[in-house]
Amino acid sequence: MAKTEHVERAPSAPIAAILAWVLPGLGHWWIGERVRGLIFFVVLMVTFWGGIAVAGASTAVTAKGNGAWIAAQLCMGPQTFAALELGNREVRNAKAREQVLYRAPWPSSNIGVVYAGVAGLLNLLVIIDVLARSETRRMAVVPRLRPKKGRS
Amino acid sequence: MAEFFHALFFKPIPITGIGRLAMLVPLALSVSIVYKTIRCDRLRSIPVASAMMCVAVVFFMMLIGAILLLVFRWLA
Repeated sequence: MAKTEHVERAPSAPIAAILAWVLPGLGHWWIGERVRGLIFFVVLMVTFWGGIAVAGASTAVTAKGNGAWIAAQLCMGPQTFAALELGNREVRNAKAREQVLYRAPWPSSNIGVVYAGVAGLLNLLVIIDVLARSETRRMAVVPRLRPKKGRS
Repeated sequence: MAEFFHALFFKPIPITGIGRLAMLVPLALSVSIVYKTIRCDRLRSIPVASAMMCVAVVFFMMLIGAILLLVFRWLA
């Protein structure tokens, strides 16, 4: 009868954190918390892109117009750069057509900025959580993987 | 499809009246779900815990808003 050996994997905390930044929930998925990762992905994506839908890409995510909110929004990872590019493209298109860019009126503009910013801050919490969870798992797995000294 | 996405992400949605207050609920819900997903060990307890936290957040924010409105009127 063939012997099957189960090899335990100690998840690397920095890799999990980077994955969580690249795509919300991916870090949890990678360390084996798949349902949790899926919940984070759906909730954070809906919140971030919902904010952009409310205010418009050129208003919700801008490098200059919203002060420090861009720092919070950057916690959502590469999709913030995608939203920035979408907004910039819209501004360039309006300039090329010599049209006035339609910006969201208050309070839609503020609501969109806050939604996208809060999504980023929540993803920061998720990144901290995945760091803690992967470190806890590492501490549980690594001592069992190390050979014990003093025994033959 | 392309027109739909263009309208979705480039044409802002006008929010007026009670809609401004109603937009608080989805934000409170997403904060509650993420927080409770982090805190709860058992996945089954997440929906009820998130709903209760969302209700509490909305209620206390409304309460604080009402108190601030009363203070503002009293000072005026």
